[in-house]
Amino acid sequence: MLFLSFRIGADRYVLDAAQVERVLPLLEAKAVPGLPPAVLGLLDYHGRAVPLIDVCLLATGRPTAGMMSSRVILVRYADEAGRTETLALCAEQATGTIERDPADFVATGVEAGTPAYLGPVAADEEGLVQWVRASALLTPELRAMLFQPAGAPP
Amino acid sequence: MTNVTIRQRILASFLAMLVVLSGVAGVAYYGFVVTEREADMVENQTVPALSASLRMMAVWTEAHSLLRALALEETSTGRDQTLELIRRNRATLDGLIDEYEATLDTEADRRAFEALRNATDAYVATEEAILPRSGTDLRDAIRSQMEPQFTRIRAQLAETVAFNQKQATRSTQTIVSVVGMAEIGLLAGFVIALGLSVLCGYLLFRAVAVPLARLMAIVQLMRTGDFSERLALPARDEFGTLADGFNAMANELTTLIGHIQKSGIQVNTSITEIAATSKEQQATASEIAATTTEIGATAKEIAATSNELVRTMGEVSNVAEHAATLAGGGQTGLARMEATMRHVMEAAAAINSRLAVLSEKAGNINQMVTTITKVADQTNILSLNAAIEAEKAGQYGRGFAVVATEIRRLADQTAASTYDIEQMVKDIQSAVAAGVMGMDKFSEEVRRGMLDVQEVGGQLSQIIHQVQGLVPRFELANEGMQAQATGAEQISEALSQLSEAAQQTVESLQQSTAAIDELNQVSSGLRSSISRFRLRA
Repeated sequence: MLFLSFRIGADRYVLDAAQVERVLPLLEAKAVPGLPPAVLGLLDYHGRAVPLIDVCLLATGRPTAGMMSSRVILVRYADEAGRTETLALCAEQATGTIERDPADFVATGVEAGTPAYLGPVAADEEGLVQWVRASALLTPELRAMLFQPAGAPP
Repeated sequence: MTNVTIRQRILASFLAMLVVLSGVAGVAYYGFVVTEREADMVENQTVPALSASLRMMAVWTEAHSLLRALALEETSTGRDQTLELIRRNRATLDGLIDEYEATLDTEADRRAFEALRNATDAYVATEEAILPRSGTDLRDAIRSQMEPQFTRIRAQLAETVAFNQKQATRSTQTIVSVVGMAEIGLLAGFVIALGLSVLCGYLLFRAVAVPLARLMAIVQLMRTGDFSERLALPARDEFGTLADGFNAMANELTTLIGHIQKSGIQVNTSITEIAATSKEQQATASEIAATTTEIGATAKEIAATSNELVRTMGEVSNVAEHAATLAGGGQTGLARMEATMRHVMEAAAAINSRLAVLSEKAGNINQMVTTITKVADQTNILSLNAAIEAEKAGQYGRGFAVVATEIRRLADQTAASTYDIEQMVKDIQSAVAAGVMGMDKFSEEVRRGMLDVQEVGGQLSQIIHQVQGLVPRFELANEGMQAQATGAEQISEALSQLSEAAQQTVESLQQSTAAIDELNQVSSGLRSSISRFRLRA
C-alpha cells in the first residue's frame, strides 16, 4: 500500500495515497474572513472551491514555510455520513512516497490525549512515521462551517 | 619629742638651768636680806640699847654712891663738889635716856622705857627734895626714901638689860638659822643644776651625735660613689631638714650622674659614628680624588675626540654634498616610479570592470539554475501524482509506478545537481566580490603610494636644499668643536687642581680621624670614671 509522506517540524507523517487526489505546488488561497486561523482560505481547483487547511499551523501553531518543497495536497475521502469531501492541505517536505503494509502500523497507546486525526505509527530506517487520518482533520463545527448542505447558498 | 628641734632643745636646757639657778639665787638673796636685817637690827637697836642700859646702870650706881658720899661729907666745899658731881651725873643719865629712847622698836620695850623714865623722874624729884638736907637727916632720908627707889630702878634696868640681851640672842639665832637654810638651798640647787645639766647634755649629745654619725656614714658611702642609699631620720629637726636636703642633693646627683652616664654612652656612640663617618668621608674624598683624576683623563679624551670630530666634520661635509647629489638622482627615480604607479592603477580599473562582467555572468547562471530547479520540482510533483494515479490503477498501473519512481529519482538528482551548481555560483560570486574589493583596496593602496612617492619627492628636494644649507653650519660646528677642545683642556687643568684639593682634604680628614681617636679615648676615660658611681635601680 502506497503512502504520501510529509513533515510537520522534524517529524514524518504519512497520508493514504488512495485518498490523495492530486499534489500541487504551493498556491495562494483566497482568504475568507471569520474562519479559524488554521483554515487559510479557499482554493480554485478546476472551478471548484476547496478549503485549504494549514496542517503545520493546526499541529504546532507555526505556519508552513514558503519553500519549494512545501506542497498543497488535495485529498478526497468519504465522511461519516458517506458523503465525499475534497480538502486541500498544505504541508512541508511533501516530496516522496512510502510503500508499506498497513499491518506494520501499530497503535501508539497515547491516543486518548492526542488530536483525533493522529493514527498509528510504523518504524523504518529513518525512525517513526505516523499515519494522519484525513477524514478526522476537521472538527464537526468546522465541517458544518465549511461543507454546508446544498440549497443553503443565497 | 621627734618634732622638737635642736635649737628648741638647747633653749629648753638653758632655760631649765636658768630657772634652777634663779631659784638658788633667790633663796640665797632672801637669806642675805634676812641676815642683813637682823644684823642691822642688832647693830642699830639691840647693841646700843644694851650698851645704854648697861651704862645707865653704871650711872645709877655712881648716883647712888655720890648720894652716900654727900651724906658723909662734912665740909661745904666737899658738899658743893659732890653736888656738882651729882648734877653732872644727872646730865649723863639724861643723855643716856635719850640715847636709849632712840633705840626703841617694840611696844614692850617702850612700856619698859616709860616705866624707867617715870621711876627716874620720881627719883630726881625726891633727890631734889632731900639734897638741901645734911648729916643724919640726909642719911635717914636716903635710907628711907631713896633706897627703895634705887632698888626699883635697878630692877627696872636689869629687866631692860635682860630684854635687850634676849633680843640680841634671838637675832643671832635667826641669822644662824637663815644662813643654814641658805647653805642647804645652795647645796640642793647645785645638786639639781648638776643633774639637770648632765641630763640636758646627754639628751643634746644624743640628738646631735646619732644623726651626725649616720650622716657621716652616708657621706662615707657616697664618697666611694655609691648613691643607692638614702638617709631616713625619724626626727623632724634640723637634721631631718638636713637629711631631706641631703637626699634631694643625692637624688639630683643621681639624676645628674645618670644623665652623665647616658650622655657618656651617647657621646661614645656619637664619636664612634663620627669616626666611621670621618673614615667614610676619607674614603669618599679618596674616591673623589680618583674620580677627579679619571674625569681629567676623560676631559683630555674629550679634547682629543673633539679634534677628531673636527676632522670627521670635514669628511661629513663632503659626504653631505655627495648625499645631496644622490638625493637628486633619487628624485628623478621617484618621478619614474610615480608614472609606473599610474599605469598600475589603470590596469587595476580594467581588472575591476572585467570582474563586474564575470559577476553578471554568474548572476545569469543563477537564474538558469533557478529555472532548472523549478523544472525539477515540477517533475517531482508530476512523478508523485503519477505514482498516486498508478496506485489507484492497481494492477494495471504497476509498470507506470516504476516509471514514475524513476522519474522522481531523476528529478531529485537534478535538484541535487542544481543545488551544487547554485553553491558553486555563489562561491564564484563571493570570490568575484572579494576580488573586486581587493582590487579596490589595491588601487587605493597604489593611489596612496603615489601620494607617498610625491611626498618623498618633496622631502628629497627639501633634503637637497637643507644639505646644501648645511655647509656653512658645518663650518660653525667646526669652530664650536675647536672651542670645545680648548674648553676640555681647561677643564682638565681645573680638575687636576681639584684633585690636589681632594688629596689635601684626605690628609685633613686623616688628622681629624686622629683627633677623633683621641676624643674616643677621652670619652672612654670619662665613661669608666663615671661608671664607678652606683645608682639606685
